[in-house]
Amino acid sequence: MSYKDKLDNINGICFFPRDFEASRKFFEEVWGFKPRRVQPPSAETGDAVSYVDYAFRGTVIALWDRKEAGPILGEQAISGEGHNYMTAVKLNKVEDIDAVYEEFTAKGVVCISKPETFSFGSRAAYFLDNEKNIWEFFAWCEGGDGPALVERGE
Amino acid sequence: MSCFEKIDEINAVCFFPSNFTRARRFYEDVFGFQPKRIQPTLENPNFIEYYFRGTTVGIWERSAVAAIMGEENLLSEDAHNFLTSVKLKTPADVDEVCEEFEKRGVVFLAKPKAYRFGSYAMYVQDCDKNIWEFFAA
Repeated sequence: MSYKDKLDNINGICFFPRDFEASRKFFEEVWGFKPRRVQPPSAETGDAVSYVDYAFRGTVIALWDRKEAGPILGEQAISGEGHNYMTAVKLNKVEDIDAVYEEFTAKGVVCISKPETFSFGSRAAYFLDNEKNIWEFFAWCEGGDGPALVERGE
Repeated sequence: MSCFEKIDEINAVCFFPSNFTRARRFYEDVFGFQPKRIQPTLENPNFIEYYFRGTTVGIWERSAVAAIMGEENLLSEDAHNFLTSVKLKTPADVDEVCEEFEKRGVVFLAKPKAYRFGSYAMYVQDCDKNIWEFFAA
């Protein structure tokens, strides 16, 4: 079975904004997006919210604070004046992440963060495509739609 | 009804590769993606969309993008160049979202217009100058 058969969907498009709070305000107050998931603050994130994603039918739009993403992806991958984001692809099982990693590295794909189980509830690996765009391949450790979901208000 | 409720889905994330043909080879030969849509012609494409369940991934040749959104809004070829595409149900919805965004001071790269590639679309920037497309078929 090829790794392609393990891909579930494009889970999210994730921005790494220069100012996390300003972006959150823009997307929520100007564009009116509703948070679907707010990862709770932790000591690792300086007791601040560092990740929010917004609900759409299917793929989500996410914001990830550079302070948390930088140590995982490498500062050089998300800093600078470019459009900063990544495309997140969901797989069904955590062991699929390691299989994808093996297949990609055998093909010479650049991995910027090897498969790891993260405190935010997923096992993930991060790769660069041919133009250094970042791709996340992940699976939720507990399956389903993952942790920290926000109840949708009316 | 707010404009948020008009949004149908995140249709695609679209890259603007520095080398369209090389990017095509990478996505099809290395990542193994299967083309879902090729425009304007099979022989000489400037846009290819790859199939996934739900939201798709697309590549769009920079010269074709610049003709619509302005060369000055494409960052250097070393930057991450892409667009997030949001589908709405009708062209009238695109106009309504446009009116609401104008009131909210959103920066427009291109106002709503019918394009030869089959969509009625507008292009805007978010607070970090990331490009968004809002369109209807």
